[in-house]
Amino acid sequence: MHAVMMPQKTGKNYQAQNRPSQGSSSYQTNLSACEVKQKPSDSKENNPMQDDEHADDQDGDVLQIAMEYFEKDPIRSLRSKDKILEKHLITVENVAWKNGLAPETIDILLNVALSGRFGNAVNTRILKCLIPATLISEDSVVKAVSWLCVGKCSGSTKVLFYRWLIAMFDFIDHKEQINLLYGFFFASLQDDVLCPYVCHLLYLLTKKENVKPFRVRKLLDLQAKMGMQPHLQALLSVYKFFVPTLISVSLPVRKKIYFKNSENLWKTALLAVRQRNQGLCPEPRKLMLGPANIRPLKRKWNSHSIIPVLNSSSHTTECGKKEMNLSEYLSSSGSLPLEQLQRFPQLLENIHCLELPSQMGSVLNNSLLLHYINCIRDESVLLRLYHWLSQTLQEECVWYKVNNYENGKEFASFLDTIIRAESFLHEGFYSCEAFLYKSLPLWDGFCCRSQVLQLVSWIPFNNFSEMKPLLFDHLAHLFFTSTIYFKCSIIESLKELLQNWLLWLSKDIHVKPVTDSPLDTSLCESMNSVFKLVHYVGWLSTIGMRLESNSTFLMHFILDFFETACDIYLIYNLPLVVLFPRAIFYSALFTLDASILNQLCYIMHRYHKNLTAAKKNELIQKAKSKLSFSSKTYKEFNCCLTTMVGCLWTSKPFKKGIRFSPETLEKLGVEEHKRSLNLVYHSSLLGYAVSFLLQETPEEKTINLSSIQGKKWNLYLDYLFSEELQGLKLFIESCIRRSSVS
Amino acid sequence: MSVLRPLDKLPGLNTATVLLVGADDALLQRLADSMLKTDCASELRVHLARSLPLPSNVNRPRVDLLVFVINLHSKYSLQSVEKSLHHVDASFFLGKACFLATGAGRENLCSVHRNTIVRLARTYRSPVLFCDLEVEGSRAAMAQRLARMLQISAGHVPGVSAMSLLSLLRSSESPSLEDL
Amino acid sequence: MDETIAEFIRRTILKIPMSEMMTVLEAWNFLSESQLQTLNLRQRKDSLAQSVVLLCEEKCASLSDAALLDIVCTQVHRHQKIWDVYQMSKGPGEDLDLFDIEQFKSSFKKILQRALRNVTVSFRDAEENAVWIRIAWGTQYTKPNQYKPTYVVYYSHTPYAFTSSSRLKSNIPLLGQALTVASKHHQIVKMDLRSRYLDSLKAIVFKQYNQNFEIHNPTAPLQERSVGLDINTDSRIIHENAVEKDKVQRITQETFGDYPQPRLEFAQYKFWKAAMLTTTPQTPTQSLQFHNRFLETKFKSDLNGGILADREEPLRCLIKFSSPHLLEALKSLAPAGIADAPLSPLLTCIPSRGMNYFKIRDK
Repeated sequence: MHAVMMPQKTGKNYQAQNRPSQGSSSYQTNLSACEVKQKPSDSKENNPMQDDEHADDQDGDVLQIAMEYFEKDPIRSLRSKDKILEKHLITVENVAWKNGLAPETIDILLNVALSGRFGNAVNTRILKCLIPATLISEDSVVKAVSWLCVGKCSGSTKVLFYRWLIAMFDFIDHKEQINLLYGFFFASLQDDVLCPYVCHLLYLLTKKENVKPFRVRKLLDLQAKMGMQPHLQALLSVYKFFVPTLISVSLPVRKKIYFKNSENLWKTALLAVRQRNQGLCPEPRKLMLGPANIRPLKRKWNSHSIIPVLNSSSHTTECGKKEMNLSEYLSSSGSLPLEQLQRFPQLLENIHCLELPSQMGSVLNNSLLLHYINCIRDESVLLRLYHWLSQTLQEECVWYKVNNYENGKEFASFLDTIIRAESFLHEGFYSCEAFLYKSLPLWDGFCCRSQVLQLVSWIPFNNFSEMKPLLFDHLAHLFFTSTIYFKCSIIESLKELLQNWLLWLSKDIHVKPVTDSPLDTSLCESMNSVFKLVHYVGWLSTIGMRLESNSTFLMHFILDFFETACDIYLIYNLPLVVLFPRAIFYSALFTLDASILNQLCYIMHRYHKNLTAAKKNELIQKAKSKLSFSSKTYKEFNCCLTTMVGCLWTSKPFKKGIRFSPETLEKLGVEEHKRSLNLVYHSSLLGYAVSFLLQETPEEKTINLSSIQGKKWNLYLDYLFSEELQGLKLFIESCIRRSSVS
Repeated sequence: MSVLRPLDKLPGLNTATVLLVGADDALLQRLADSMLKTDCASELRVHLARSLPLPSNVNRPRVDLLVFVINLHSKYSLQSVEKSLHHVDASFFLGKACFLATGAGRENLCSVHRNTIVRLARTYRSPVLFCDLEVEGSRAAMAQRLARMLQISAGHVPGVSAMSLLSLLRSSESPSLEDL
Repeated sequence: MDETIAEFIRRTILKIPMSEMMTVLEAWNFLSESQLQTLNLRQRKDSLAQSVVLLCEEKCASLSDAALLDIVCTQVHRHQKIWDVYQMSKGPGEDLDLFDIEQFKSSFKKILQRALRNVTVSFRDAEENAVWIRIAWGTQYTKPNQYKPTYVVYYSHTPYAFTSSSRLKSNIPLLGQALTVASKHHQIVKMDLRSRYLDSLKAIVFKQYNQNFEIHNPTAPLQERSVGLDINTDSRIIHENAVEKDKVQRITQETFGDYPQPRLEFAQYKFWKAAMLTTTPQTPTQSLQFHNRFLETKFKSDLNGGILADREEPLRCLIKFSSPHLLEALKSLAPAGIADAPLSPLLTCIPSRGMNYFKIRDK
């Protein structure tokens, strides 16, 4: 079922990307408003004269005056300027909440707020309305921090400033300069009131080279003094992430949230800004090799989407010097900023000096980093990723939460991203596996159905018997009580699971050195697991067919599965052939649908090939091979083959087995039963036979099916082959010696 | 007021009757509405009861499937189901009864652990289904599954009996979630 | 006009939401109609407050005027305070006196002033013979603090008074004394009843909440209701326990009546249990139970080393029910299938006994 749903999904994304060009009016307004802010000088020429825009213009003018007031403000008496100040403040507030403020405006206002020129109340109001239109320049922040050192502003203003800085962190255009102030911020930890906010800021700011032994000591001292505070723990955990050797104290692993988003005063405003910015640079969501998609913003804890975005975007300035030589990096910082990593050759050049982001989740959206993670095979990196994934899955899982629709959609798209990453790497994540084991028993089979089933298909290879009670029993439970569509989806995802396992095993087998005993126990066990999986699906299918009264629809999915299962030996080069259950064979053989019969023929043909090849190989490597396909498999296959040939070709069905006495058959009126299953009379092919005859002799009034014999039989076969029944063709060519019959 | 028996009456033509037992009326009502909305070949009848035994003075059709609905957020709901279980004939548990636990997802609100329900169901050799009846989509999906089970236990699916479904749904003794 | 009065008025005005500004100012009845019309309600609140202060300066507002404004404010936002209930009683042989409200006011004021010297007492008559009293407390040596007053609502001719909870516990006996003497009662007791909703408290102590109940026949609306409940059901859905459901409805209605419940936001139960004694040493666990039908609380512990083993001091526990509308919540417990009907009398007796703080001792 999810196969059907996927195209819809991508279709939606496509639409979303296209939206700017279609352009709803409100969107256009926003866009132009941003432009106004960015280049106030030529704003008038640029704007088409529309009412909305006009209003914006006026706003801009008033704002201009207000800014002049704030900028060139001589020292005036408090009383006299009360009213003017009030007016200008209101102007600024209005513009800020409506469109956001330009970087220069923010620069001026920050200066005003922190220079202590006005009282606390005014400073608070100014800080509260410092909402960027798009970005905040780094210089403004650095200047603002310098005001903190002068000591002109009160404690509460300082706190508010830090809170503002944390909330706006994503919108600051660069962070190198700010990072240079790391020591200053760190020293501010001493202040008990500021400490939580400074911790949060440092948490966002910390890079690997910031982690120093003396800082660790300081933090541990603080923790000893103040007890286990969540903000200190957060910072320590970041330090531990970067340099695990420096920190020996154990931190709670299961701690979920260190900082509360509810403390964010600018939440709604930020959403608006984000939307504005996203509108400006709509991001393609598809993962692809090549230039990584860099979003202009970085979201961390106060993020709207679940997956964090890679570190800051310095690409605006850096894109000029794309050709950076290796030695420069080796000598300078020792690490390549991730956002500069855009192309695969770059990855190859810098692979030794990459520093992974502090938030591992962000790699999910970056194909290059996924490559990197995949090839470095660093346990700790994978652990970090898995740790993040398990936590997020647990936290965000919809059926663990008070359900709401929005939430569900968000979680589904998160799962989609994980699935994209998994299929990009061709590898399942262990945390997803654990998540499935934990949550499948509680799953209602409805919520995020297609995603959950896709996750199932990416479960890493494992011992089947161990997985059965954790996963397959629950799946069976759902399978037996659900609709036919759900049954089809389960079979489909199990087919993908089988494919993934087989790929993995076939790769694994060739990595291992060939020893004298090629079939060591581990391989035997692996093959046993695969065997059991196929067997399990056979069991599901048999009962499913019974429950759904031999639905053709379901049969298609089942045969699809066995198309993969029948080719294990030849395609995946693994020593295993598992037959499908007899029930499936017979219901496919007696089908009313020609395409089912065609598929069955194809599968029989592939089984034939596989078994023949296996037999041949066995003869060659007789001495080595311990794994002989059991003769039972051959016997069973031969039995199926005989039946099939007997029914379709020789018109001598069921030589063995139940026989009716001629009298009974006469009573039933089916004396001619023997040929009633051959290629002409078979219920699914009857239509073909008729239209073949009509084509041959269009003027004939009565149709004589029994006339298809001898030469006509061959012509009829060619007709069938020309009707796209490829499976039948392959089957007849490989399993039947035609000359002997005709 | 007597013990409820599964096969003491003749079946109605193409009708399948389910009896939902649970303390929370409003939830049962909504589940019943969702069940009737499902696309089902048999004619469905839904009986709702707060608790068993049922009043004996009423003429009611044969009950084909008995569903005990337990709200994990309320201990009272579990207790009332446990009391009702005494008034059910043992042969119901040969495939014509199941447990439905709602609200397992919101763990912070749960006053009954889901393993309690799993154990209870195991004691009665009956399947247990988890869902969240408060959520529209989940409820509809569950209604569909119940309708499916009802059809089978009413004998409307050829070749599958209530007993055979039971044997399929009975999973092997799985390790508890805590051991993971 | 004194600077402090202006400041007090300004701050009081700032407390009033813009939407209620006009009603409050009109109810205050200090500024004239024409003065009120000059006020611009579109401006910011602090400038509005400033213009109100200016108008008051013109009229030379006194402290008592300002206090009246404060009372009006509190009357509008009475649910922002938590109210205590006091019940007074007459001594034996004391008969109904003629009650004069003016006499009450003057003697009340006199008693407080005699005791504290510095105290601001203001009165405002309200509907239903109620008088609102505002007391700003001072001491012999300090001026009254206008920002932490106590409000008292006294219904004349009744033995009940409601006071806003205040942090100045030391003045409460004095307040009680003033109330009893002024209203010519003999004794005053604080009831175990508190709520934010003054009107609900009033309804409870004056037994006004069940007025409808006495008049109507209780069975008639019940049937309407139970029919109404099933009105939308499909004929394919059969309610087996319809009779039982009706019974639950009936019992609920008998206990709670068919009218909206008075609004309380919590009820608190304190239990005392005498020291534990090991009764049956052979059982692996010992359990201690309070059986109040609904409030069933169990303590279980291992025989050895459990927290309850060898306990000398009595065991206490506190159970608190809270809800935005507690009585309505209790009323819907049984119909919603969360509890058996009838509920424990401990829960249902709240309005009839007029208490929501209970102390229960094990016999």
